[in-house]
Amino acid sequence: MAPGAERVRSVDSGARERIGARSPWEVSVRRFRANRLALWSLYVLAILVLAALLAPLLAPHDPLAIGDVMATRFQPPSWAHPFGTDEFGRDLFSRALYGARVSLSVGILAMLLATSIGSLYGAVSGYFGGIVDGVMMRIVDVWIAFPAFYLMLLLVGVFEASVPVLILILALTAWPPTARFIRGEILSLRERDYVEAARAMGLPAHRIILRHLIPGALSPVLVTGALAVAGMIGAEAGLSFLGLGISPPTPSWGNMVAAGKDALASAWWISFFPGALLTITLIAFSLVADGLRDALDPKALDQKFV
Amino acid sequence: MLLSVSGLRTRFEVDEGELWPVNGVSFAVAAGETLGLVGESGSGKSMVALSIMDLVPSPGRVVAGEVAFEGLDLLSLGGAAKRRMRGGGIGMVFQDPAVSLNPVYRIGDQIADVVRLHRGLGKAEARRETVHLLGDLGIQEPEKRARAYPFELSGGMRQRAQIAVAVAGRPKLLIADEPTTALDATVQAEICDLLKYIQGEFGMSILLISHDLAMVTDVADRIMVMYAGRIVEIGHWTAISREPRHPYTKGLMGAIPHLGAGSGRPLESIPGTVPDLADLPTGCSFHPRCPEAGDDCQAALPRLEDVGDRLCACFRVGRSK
Amino acid sequence: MRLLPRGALEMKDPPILSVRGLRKSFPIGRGWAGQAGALEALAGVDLDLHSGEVLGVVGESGSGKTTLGRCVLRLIQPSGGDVTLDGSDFLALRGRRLRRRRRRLGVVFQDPYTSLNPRMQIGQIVAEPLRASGRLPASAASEKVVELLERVGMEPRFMTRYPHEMSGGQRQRVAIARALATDPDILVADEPVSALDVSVQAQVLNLLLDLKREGGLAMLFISHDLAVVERIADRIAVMYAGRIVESAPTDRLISHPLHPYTQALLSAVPSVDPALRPERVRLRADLGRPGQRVDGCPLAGRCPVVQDVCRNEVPPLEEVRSVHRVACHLAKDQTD
Repeated sequence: MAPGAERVRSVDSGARERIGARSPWEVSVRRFRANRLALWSLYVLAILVLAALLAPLLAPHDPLAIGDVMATRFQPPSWAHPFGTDEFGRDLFSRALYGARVSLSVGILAMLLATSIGSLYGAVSGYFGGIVDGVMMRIVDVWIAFPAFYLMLLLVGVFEASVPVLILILALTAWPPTARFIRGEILSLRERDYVEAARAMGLPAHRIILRHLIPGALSPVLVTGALAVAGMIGAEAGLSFLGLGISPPTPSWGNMVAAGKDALASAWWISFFPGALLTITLIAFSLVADGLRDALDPKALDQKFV
Repeated sequence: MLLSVSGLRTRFEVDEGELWPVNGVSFAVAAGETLGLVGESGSGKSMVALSIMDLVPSPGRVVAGEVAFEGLDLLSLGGAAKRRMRGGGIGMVFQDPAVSLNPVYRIGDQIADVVRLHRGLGKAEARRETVHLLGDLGIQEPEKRARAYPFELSGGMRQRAQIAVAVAGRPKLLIADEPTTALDATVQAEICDLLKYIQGEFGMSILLISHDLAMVTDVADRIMVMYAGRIVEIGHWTAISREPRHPYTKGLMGAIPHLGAGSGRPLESIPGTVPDLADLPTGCSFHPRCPEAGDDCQAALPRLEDVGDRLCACFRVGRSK
Repeated sequence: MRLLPRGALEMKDPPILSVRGLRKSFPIGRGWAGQAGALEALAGVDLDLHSGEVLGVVGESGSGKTTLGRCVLRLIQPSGGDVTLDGSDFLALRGRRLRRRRRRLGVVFQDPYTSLNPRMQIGQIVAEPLRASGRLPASAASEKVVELLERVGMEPRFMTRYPHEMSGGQRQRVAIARALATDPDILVADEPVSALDVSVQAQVLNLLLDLKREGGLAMLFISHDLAVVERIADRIAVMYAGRIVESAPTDRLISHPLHPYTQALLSAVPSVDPALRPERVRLRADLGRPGQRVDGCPLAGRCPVVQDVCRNEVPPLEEVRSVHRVACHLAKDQTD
């Protein structure tokens, strides 16, 4: 044993004693929870997701049911109809709940698909470098060169716009920027000393990627993912608003806003509530993304004040 | 005394509690003198400089003490007076010139800005002054170099340029925080010579902050040693380097490898590590690592006292005979 | 305690690491006509490392010392030259055989804050090289980790800590433990103490000295700090502009440097005692770009005693006294 180790032993016992280990993930969770804005946004999103999942139980009326149209149409918000009724007398609160299902599922699933494809693609491209990287990135460049929205319009025109199809289309336009971003992260991670040490000690490539590169890249993936959901939801809303996405009678927040656009002065509630829900959701996702970015910042682990 | 600091305390509030990187620091710098401030990381030495200049980053704040510069209380200055002081009264040089020089402006412009602001010269005059200053500080072909951007210069030249920016306003005091740390050995020696030159030529006082005790011994007139936010020893450089008396200073001197000591000889090391500022030992902060510690060291905090040829904060160090 | 004089040992045993003519060029930029510029980081390096010996490689930024370390470790591919490890050509190996050979080398990097994976516990970090070799089952690996940690002066309870919970000195000890996990013959240390505080630097240096003494570990100790290198190295090689300009046993190099660059470097080291400060040998300012290919001696533009021959011919690294090699046209004529 190295001399001097004895004395090191007795002195270190005073410094930084903690019960159990604090992994960087735990540190990040703590930091996130300390961020009031982000935490509340997360709660809001949780409520919305829960409401969407439990829509069949929570909805007071059938979102598609049309009864005595003349008696029930264009009713302003009341206890019976918290969001009012539309031109067909349908309860807008129930429609909003079911609309949440559409909007949120499209947003989240499209994001998951785009992020998975993009991350894997970017990781492979970044790790191997050279010609592989060159070819893969040129493909991405070409893809990005197509204006995303027109691509979506084109695909929507060709295929029937149902929820699964919409998810696919949105993911197809979103994965290339993710790939590029993840590739950049992997490139910089590759140069880190601990990755070089892993190479120097003779670890095989798959272990280096799985154990050292991907965990490091997960943080930015989470952040971009959160932001991407907002983008996806917005895109779906936009398409549905234009009549190209989910079409009525199936409710989606986008097409609900469209339905009320000609009656803004007289029956404002038809567009207002779905619009407000969209706004709240997008803001909440952005705030959560910001909070994640701050919480996952690796520099935060080593703060020096002197 | 040009600069007089007494009872300076700076506090940081973080999750773990309160940190006091500057915990009751008092010292003075005379006109034309170079005072070295030596400490390791965690000692608070950089924070002393930032506290004097009122540049403490949040969540930190100066919470007590007085800083008197030419009779003025720096800590209570208003906005305009404070800005005049920075650059005009006190100049500051940081460790990494790549970070502290503005990368999108030519160095000549950055220097000329200071000259115009603090010495009131016109554009053309300022430019002449700039070239003159660059040449004075040892930069070859100063007219050409003045038009260069920071990234076009080598590390040593960048540091000279940063020093030029700091002294262009003819401040009475230059605070240099680790000015040689990022540089090669041969360049370090040149910058040390430059600092000595500035002191002589411009009659400037220098507060030289560094972890490199050997370098500071070369440049400074007096040296003060900091540990865990407090000063533990201040004295003339010959006294400190030839006969360190505080156990920490002695340990530091023993731990520095000197050339010519021969291969294979182990260094004297100080056991343990610098304490976490959020979790300081009671009494003297150094006592857990001190080979001379006694029971009294844990019970009370030793104050800086005059022990004859220097000031020292240690119960084991009394007046020399 | 040495039974044989240093020189004798070197001449008898074959070196465990042998580098010949190592070159590395980095392509940079493109001129107008499409020609590619090149940064010559290593311009032909020869060195030998014997078992149990510490070779200090000293140089400033741009000298190529870091590139040398990385080429020896094959973290970057050299542009030319040979690296012979344990008698076989290291550069020619591929795949599994390369990975197996890598275990003969241990590496310690400069920055303790980036050389450990922040998401792994200390125990996992130190055990990882053992997993790569696949020889030990989990329980035996755990024992080995404890043994390694104790060897570097750390208590076993640190096994479950994460790097960010430890100080720089502690992290560097962990890096050393990890480097020793596969019982390597050679430790390549690139500025292992440069990022540490003085008092911690001394601790880690003493640790390396102990490891050298007890284990017969050979070391390639790369640093810019001559005073640190002097403590630990048996021989020192001084690098400038991608070449070794002088190499000699430590005591000899420090007391009788023959190359003007070595003399300048030694005189620039600040000493706490002014009585020990040697006369400063000053180099003229460097107006060239780093990595530029030059005719003649790379120091010619700055050398205080430059002659015409220096500008035209590259001085070869020659032995001018027993085991003292210098690359300078004028050194041969110098008397002791």
